[in-house]
Amino acid sequence: MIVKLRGLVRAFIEFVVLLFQRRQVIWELAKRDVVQKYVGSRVGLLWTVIHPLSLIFIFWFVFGFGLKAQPVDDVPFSVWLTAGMAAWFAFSEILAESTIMIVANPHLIKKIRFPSQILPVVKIVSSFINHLIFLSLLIVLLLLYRVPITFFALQVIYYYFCLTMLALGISWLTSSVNVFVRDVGQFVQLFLQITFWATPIVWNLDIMPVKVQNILRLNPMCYVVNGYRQAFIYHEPFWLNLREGLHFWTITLFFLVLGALVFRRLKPHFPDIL
Amino acid sequence: MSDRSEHCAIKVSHVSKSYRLYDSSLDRLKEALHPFKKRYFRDFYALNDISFELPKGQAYGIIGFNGSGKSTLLKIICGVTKETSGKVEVQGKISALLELGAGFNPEFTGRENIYFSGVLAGISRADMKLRYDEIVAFADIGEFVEQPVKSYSSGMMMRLAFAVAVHVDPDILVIDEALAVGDARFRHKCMAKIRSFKDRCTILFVSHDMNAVLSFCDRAIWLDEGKMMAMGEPKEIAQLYMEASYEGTRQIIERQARFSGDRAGENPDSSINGENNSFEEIKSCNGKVDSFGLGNATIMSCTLLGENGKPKEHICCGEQVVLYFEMKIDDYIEHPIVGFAVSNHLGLMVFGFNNLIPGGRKLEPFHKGEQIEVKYAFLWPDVEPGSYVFTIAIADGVLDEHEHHHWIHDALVVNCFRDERMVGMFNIGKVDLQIEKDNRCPDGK
Repeated sequence: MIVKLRGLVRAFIEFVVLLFQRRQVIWELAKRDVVQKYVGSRVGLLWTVIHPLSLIFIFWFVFGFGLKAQPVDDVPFSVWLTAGMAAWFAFSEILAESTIMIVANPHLIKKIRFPSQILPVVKIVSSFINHLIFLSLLIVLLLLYRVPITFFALQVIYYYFCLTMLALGISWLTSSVNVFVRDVGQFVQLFLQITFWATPIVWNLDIMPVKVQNILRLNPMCYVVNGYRQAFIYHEPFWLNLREGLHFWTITLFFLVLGALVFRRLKPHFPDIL
Repeated sequence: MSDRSEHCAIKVSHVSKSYRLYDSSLDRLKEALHPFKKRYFRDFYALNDISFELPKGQAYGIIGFNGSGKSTLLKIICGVTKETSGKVEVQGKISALLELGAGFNPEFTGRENIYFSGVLAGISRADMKLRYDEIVAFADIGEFVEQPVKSYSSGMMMRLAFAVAVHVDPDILVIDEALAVGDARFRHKCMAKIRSFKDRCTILFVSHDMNAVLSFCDRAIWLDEGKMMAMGEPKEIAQLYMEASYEGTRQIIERQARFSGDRAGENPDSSINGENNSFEEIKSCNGKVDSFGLGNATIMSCTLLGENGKPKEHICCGEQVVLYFEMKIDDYIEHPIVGFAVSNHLGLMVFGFNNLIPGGRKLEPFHKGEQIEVKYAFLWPDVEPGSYVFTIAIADGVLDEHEHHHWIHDALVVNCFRDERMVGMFNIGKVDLQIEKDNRCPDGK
């Protein structure tokens, strides 16, 4: 057990070293990833702004305007919504696109020596652009509705780190298995759709009975979404919900270890299958 | 021991690679994750217990037939695929030309791919910028460097890939037959570049071009069906390999001969075909190949023999050889002319002989039912290496006016090789070189 644990720690350190050594590769790949998405389109990078904006508008229109959602805890619904959406969309973008990242880059896997385990990290870097736009949108809304911005907002860095680690662990798992069974990509899409509604993003957790709340809190993304709101809206420190934090990190570590083990086991097969 | 391994650029010890043939990729997944390592596959050994050491600064060539595991070995050395068992140790940075445009993203332009390949090789963008012009100049693909790589021809892809591979300061250069797609001019440019690398760089080189291996590798490794058949001096290995490839062709020829049946239209008398078996079977040489003639004679077999009287397909320049063929005479031929001509790979007739040109003699008439054996013993001339085709013919008449009774265009194909370099189609042999200096030049005293 101890030996295995030591092996894991060593593998983790090696991974961090690898990230550092290959930082230029990661950076170049991330740049390509962003460019490739919009290559040939007229407005190009503007799409990264149009996307989140229209999404937030639709949800605000349906829930805030159509269903007359009331301000939550004295904060306008659109602000409250955007804080949750920012966290969720960063997570779902990383997970959904990392899952197909290995299959989408056969030229890297088959033809050259390439550390494919960094591909989800590339996605984390390239998706950061979208996240920044989401966050600036949020800040604009906060200023617009005169919600004060405090030092607690810096906690977003911690919560962002949380969500990338969770996404990285699951991505290692899904992206490697997806090489063998391409259905995984589709399944992840569906899974994200469902969890989007199961996570308190467009609805408030407090409206549920306590029993249901406890079940819904098992969802690790619940912790991150609440965290984003803590940082920007409630101005609470993250150590207030230590128990949820512990729960989140247990699940995340589980996925990181499982994902890393499965990825390492499957990696030698990639060039033979792709 | 440790001292020795320090001088090794590549050390391959007992490497095997078995490809597992699965019925579906789901089986593969189940096995990879199976807690008790259940087996779902059938083994296919692409490489079997390969060991060798490649010292720093040397050039090794790997030869072998298609499917012998050459590319797999290179892929393992480069770390693209993983060996099933054994160990590969590599010291230094490898730059590999495994397949066309390795690692290029087809959607991006040549320029972007150049930069990215550099970064992958550990060279920063700024450093790549300094080399960029040199790379583009070497690749010489013009404006295409600004086009997406997917629009490239295979030649252009190769040019760019090669140009990048040699400009990222490799310690070890691995080249896998990639040069075969380039045109002759670029191929020579590449060979010259590789040659210039020989001093500072370790080279591993896979090629079908025996002359390239001979002229520039320090040692050669011969792989066959995943096993290492031999390793040693390129010349010896080339000889072994060529003998084996001759064996291989013979087997194919014999197999073809068994299936080819009787020679179409050539000879309506089937009893002749029955007697064919007494001749050495080389029917496939003339079975479907260009042949024509009036048919009073039929050339039944044709072989090139070496000094030891054994058939030869690979010849060294200056070697004693015997061209041997047998004919069946089906009708009277008054003034027989028997001859052969040898053409090079371009179809140019390089040399030849018949019994009416000076050095030959007039022959008595051939009568029906006779079996004639013809032997020409000669020294293989000092011609450029490559493949040569024998044309053999039997005619009736004189040199200026005759009719062909049987003419076989591609009767025999042989390969000629030589280990020294030469210029042109023929080597002129010993040359007396004299250079006189003009002492009145301004610098001279």
